[in-house]
Amino acid sequence: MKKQQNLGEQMINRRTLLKAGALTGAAAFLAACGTSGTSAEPTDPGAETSPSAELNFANWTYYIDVDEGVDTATASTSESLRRFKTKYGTTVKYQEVLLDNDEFFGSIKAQLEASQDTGWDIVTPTTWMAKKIVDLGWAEEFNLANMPNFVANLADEFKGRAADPENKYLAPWQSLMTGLGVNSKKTSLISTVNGLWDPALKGKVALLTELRDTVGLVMLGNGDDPSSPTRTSFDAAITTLETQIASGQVRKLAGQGYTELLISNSAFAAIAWSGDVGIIQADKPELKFIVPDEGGMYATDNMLIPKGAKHKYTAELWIDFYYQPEIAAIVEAYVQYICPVKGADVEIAQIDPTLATNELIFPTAATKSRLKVWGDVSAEDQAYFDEQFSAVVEGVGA
Amino acid sequence: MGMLRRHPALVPLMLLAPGLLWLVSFYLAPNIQMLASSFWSGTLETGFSFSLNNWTNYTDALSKYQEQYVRSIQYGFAATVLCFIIAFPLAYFIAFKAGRARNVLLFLVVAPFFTSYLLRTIGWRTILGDDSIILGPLKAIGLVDPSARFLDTPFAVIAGIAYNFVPFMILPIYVSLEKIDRRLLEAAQDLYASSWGAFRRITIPLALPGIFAGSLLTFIPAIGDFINAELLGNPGATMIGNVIQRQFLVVRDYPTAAALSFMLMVLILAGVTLYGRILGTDELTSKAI
Amino acid sequence: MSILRKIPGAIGSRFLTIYAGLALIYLLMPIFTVALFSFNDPVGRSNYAWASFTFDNWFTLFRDPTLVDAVGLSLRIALISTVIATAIGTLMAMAIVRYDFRFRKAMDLFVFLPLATPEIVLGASLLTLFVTLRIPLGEITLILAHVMFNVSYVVVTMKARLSGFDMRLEEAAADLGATPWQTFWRVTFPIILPGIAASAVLAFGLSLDDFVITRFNAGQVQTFPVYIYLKVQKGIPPQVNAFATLFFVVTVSLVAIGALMQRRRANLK
Repeated sequence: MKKQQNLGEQMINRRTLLKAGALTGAAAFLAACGTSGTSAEPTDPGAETSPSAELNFANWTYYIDVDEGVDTATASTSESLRRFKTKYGTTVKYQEVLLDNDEFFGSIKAQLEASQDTGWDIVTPTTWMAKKIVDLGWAEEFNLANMPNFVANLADEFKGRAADPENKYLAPWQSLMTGLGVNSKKTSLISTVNGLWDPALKGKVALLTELRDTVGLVMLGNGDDPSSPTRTSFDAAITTLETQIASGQVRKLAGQGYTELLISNSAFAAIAWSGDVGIIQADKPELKFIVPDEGGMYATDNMLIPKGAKHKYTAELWIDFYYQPEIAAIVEAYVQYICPVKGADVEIAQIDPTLATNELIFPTAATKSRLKVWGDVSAEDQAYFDEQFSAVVEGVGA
Repeated sequence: MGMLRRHPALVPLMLLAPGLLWLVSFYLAPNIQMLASSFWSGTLETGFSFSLNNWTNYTDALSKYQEQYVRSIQYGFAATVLCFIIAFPLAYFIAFKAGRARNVLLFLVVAPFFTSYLLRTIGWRTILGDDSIILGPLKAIGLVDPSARFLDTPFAVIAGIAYNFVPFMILPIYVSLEKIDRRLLEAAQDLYASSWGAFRRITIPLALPGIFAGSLLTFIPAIGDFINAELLGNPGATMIGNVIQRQFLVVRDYPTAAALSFMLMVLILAGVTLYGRILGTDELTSKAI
Repeated sequence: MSILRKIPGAIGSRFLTIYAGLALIYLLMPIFTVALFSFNDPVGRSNYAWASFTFDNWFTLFRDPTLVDAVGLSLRIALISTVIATAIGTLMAMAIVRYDFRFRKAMDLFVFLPLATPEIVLGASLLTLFVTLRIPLGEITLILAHVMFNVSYVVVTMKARLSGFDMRLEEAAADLGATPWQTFWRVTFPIILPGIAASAVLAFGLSLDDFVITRFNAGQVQTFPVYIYLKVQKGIPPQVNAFATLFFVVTVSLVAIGALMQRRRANLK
């Protein structure tokens, strides 16, 4: 035992300690070298006066044009991003990391609170989340002098919104309709929300994990109005959901993944977003988007520059670039959502005449009248709604 | 370093120091922090405050998510049993019947785990889908009921969990089986025991330590799993892991999330301690790998 | 009498072989599926249905810069955390196995605890710590997290290897006039080297594939598993399958080479 101790203690001599120290130091150095992402240096957004080399853009999936035959959206495979690079030399690092408003907010909140750079120059939350961010003071104010196209071409419906009355924090990217995605080969075309509860569709229905979309639609199916939700109408919708889930009618509550369920025939009908169905229709024409007779939901996703963004000026350039009708039309033609840029409709007809009458991009007035936006309620009520719906998603009582 | 010569007892402490520091900082401290945050009340927007009165966070969380806890234990148990059924005969085969091919087979068993856990689980989604490349043809020829569904069911979740832990089950069992002195089995035969009798009275008892170790290594992670439930399950198959994940990342109700987490940890540590008592801690920590 | 006893044995033996074969097929099926679909030319973005065979995905491995960054980040984190964890863990294992000190049993248990804690608890508690201390999430926090869980695996593996170590070898070296330093590098280290290598491979693999703990503590950075998870929802590019198959083939080859080299060394003796 004694010999062991001697060996040991002599091992832990100066040289060992030095070597260990060097090793740890080298590892730390390597680690520091390779660090990407957040840094704590305070940025002065006003300082930038020329386009930067990169722009970090976080967006939802299926939300930008992608070249034919390519499966991922990268700067090199998107026409609109490519044109931006040609004009300004900026490579847009476009990442489809926005899967859920709450989850994404959770991932940037800590940095925003600590006044650190989130790593993103543009993010695209839905209006209700965008309003939250603006109200918390965590959105950079636009320098509108850099954005003449935005000022000129923003569709009138977005002027004077409660979330951004002077249009200096949010630039709408796309608007979307929430309705039904139906596989017309596997089931008859249902036209009502309550058609989802048809026993023939048992185990083949998928719902969204977005409260405003799923509960909104179910409320419409119950004859209630989601533009002014009350605890009563909300509870009724929750009861409907719980019943249908417990009985096995609903196969899965999916986030963005519902498209995969429709494509793989795991689901024959789902609560769906209009443009998504438009995109997957290209490969699976039997999938149809239907605005239910009782009504559908309507929402907008907005470009927002988070506070402390490193490339604010370039972000403004991109927003302004997008707000040119011919660029917006390129994106629109592919994603088939509703475009907030004035004049894009004319440009789209030039890209593809058939799109001019595409119901997804240009819903008729009759359809539009059936669309509702989730109403603003008190913070307590919304918290109650969130909690109740979250329990449903978590499978409580399923 | 004369100091070390005078105090030889310092040597082990210095060897331990870096690792100990790391574990204290990044295992112990976070869990203590989490325990503290489970006694918070408030929200992210309004700020949190600590109070021991908030022990109600625990009772609230437990009463709301009781079903998920129970289900997790059930699925974990079922997955462990399923895993055992798959692993034991294979381990037996490799230990007793494989001869030279033994190492190759062992390697084949472990090899799948050099691919991504997520991709393996998604691979099961591809295989078990309603119209999949495998089930589609089987349904077409009538071997499988066309209206049968395997994906997005508790069955898929349990099967997925079991699949992921087969190597953890096989390796300890194999080690135990391999150590069995073959002469014992020969002696049994000489004494007119049937092969089944020898199996029951010699092989199984001697393999028990490996079986226990493998079961523990499967059961513990299985309870806390959420990937399989998320990718392969339906709303009726959610486990406590899914709830915890959502509470932390989406809902951001840190007090509830922390309470749920802590209860899960206590549940598992209680099981592990009980198991350690039965078998002795030395056995436990050395048999683990 | 003996024939009757042998028949069930024979049938049992056949049955066992078939069962083992089926079990192996079951184990390898998803891997085969992953590899197979790396050669698929999917319709649209969804890689669930087989469309047509193509080598294209393998030639365009680096098309998506996000994927390439994710793979690079995963490799970097795995390398750094493996080096640190193996070093720290080996030292700890030596302390626990070779020395008898007062808190030895407690230390033994303490090191084992992270293995018994569910990954989700490990990840979530670290997140709580980082958020409370306002440490920005990213590569550094991931390395810190990965070293933490890898240390336990290294310690447990090395303990098993070290406990069989014949101390007389070291004593003999000392008797022959070797300094403790020489003894360590020339006697001890070569003998425990396979154990260190095994722990390092284990740690590297665990870090590369870690999803749960990483997801909680990555912030915006994407590792390879996080990238996959983000893509699950709307279609995983076949290049991901290609990378995964590549990792698998490389790892398998490395292990095979290692085994062959060991056999050759044994043969030369």
